[in-house]
Amino acid sequence: MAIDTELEKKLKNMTIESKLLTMKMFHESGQGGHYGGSFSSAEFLIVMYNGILKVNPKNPKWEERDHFILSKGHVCGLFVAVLALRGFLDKEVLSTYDEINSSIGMHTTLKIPGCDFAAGSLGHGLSAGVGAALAKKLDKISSRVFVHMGDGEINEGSVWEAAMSASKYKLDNLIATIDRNMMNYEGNTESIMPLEPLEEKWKSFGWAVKTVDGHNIAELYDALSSLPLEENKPSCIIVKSIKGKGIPCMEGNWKYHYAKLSDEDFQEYYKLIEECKCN
Amino acid sequence: MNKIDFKKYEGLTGRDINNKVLLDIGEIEPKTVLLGADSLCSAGGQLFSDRFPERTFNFGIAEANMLGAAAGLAMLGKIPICIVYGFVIARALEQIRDDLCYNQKNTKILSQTVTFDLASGGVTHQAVEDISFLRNLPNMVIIQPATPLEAVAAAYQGILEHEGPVYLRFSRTLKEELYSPDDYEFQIGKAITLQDGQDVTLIATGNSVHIAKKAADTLGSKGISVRLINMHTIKPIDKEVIIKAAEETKGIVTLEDTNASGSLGAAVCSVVCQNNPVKVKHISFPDDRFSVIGPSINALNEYFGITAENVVKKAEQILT
Repeated sequence: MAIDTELEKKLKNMTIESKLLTMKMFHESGQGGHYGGSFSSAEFLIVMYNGILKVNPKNPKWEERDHFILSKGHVCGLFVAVLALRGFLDKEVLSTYDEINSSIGMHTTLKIPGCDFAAGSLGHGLSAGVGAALAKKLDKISSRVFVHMGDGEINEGSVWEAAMSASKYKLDNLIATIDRNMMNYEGNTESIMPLEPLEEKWKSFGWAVKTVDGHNIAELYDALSSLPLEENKPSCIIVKSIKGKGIPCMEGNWKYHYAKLSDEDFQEYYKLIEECKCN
Repeated sequence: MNKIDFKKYEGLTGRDINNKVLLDIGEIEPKTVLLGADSLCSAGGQLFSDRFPERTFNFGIAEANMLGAAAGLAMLGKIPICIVYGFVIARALEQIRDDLCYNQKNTKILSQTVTFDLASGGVTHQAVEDISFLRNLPNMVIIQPATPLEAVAAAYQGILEHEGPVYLRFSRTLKEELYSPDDYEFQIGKAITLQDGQDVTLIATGNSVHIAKKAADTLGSKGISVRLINMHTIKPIDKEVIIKAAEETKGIVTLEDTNASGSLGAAVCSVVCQNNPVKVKHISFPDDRFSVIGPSINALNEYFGITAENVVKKAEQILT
């Protein structure tokens, strides 16, 4: 489904806002954060929470909601920024990032309103998604389950165990989205553990697959609002993205998977992102 | 607690207990679902899966995914019962830690191949460390019944009453009964004193309770007053009964067929040392070594010294 121009503009600006909130969170905590994977997923998360997911910020446990599992739990900072923009939590909570016993930090926790699954260690989310999708099928609940993974994450064998079981049970209410930024923690995915041909891999596991531009809001909206890709098959959306998108020195640079910026760099990069806002 | 009609389970042993009890639990609670990793029949899941095929899921030989999926099913209010072989706890430990325990999901793990149940299977198929692995996990409950009726009670309470992850560690050789269906009472975390005594305490768990009972009889015939405790719940451990034993008897012998450094022996020592230090001696699977192939559970117990004779010796050492 094509996106309305006004909504597209709004989501573009929200993407910028989510990045700014994330940067502030990371920098003001004094700890730094996962810039690379956060900025590759920003448009995706904004589109999901403001155009695709059936959720209710006033009632995060609303029974008819779509479930969203952030399996790449290390982008918790961006995730809570997006949730704050959607009204799940007060923006003031973001200043508690990395504080002792905080609900928010490097990885997701169950204390975050709207977070159903606390992740961190990679390769766990898709299995949980399979279980949730099975339960919805069993109870004839029409809502869906989305699982967002990093591309390096799918090196994990458990992901492929889950992929097999999703197609066995014809879980067309399950959508796996893969942030295809081509980067593991220590380098390019294809040099660390080659994933290509990725579409063919998922197809051969019985999934319907589509690749989209992860920084193109209209394309994301179009693909994610036309699900499932095929009846009786789980859907896999490969979201092509650039790690560290928006800050030139970070783009495609695995060294910014996690980073702590100097005050000067922070100011400069913050301004760069801020200038991307459209009126 | 659900009133259990123990009489209808009387005389059942091993896998038949699970078959019947899982079927009945499935009838009582429609939220229960049965998950297997090519393991559904290994612990008596057959009757449940025949009766409720739509609530039975076989994930193939992929335990990590099965346990992760259990967390997802529980997220939507289901009560998944995952059937595993005891030795695969190690393979899926991170899913158990993160997805079930940390995520506080109401999930159950049922194993009926524990310790030397697969005696000839050797090291890879014997589970002597599984309790050690799980005892460190917050929110996890570990129950190891000693008799068929205790297994029935543990399954009912662990699955239907307790909200949270439970490891039901049922030996497939459960046969000998110690209780009467008329007056048996079971409570998670509350040990059962099978026999009171003032000289020495024997604390055992699972199949080892029967070995401890033999030792208690021998010691009794020698005029020694023995307190015999069945610690069916390893976690949370019944501190009260241990402290009382430490105060009222001269020492404690723990007996188990798992490794004492991470299981019952360690749990008892921790409570005793921090409250009322007395002598504690262990009879257990030896620490820091792997098992061996053997023809039977009894042969392996003998080989590793998990015998009533050794319990008697340790008890006498405490008293001399």
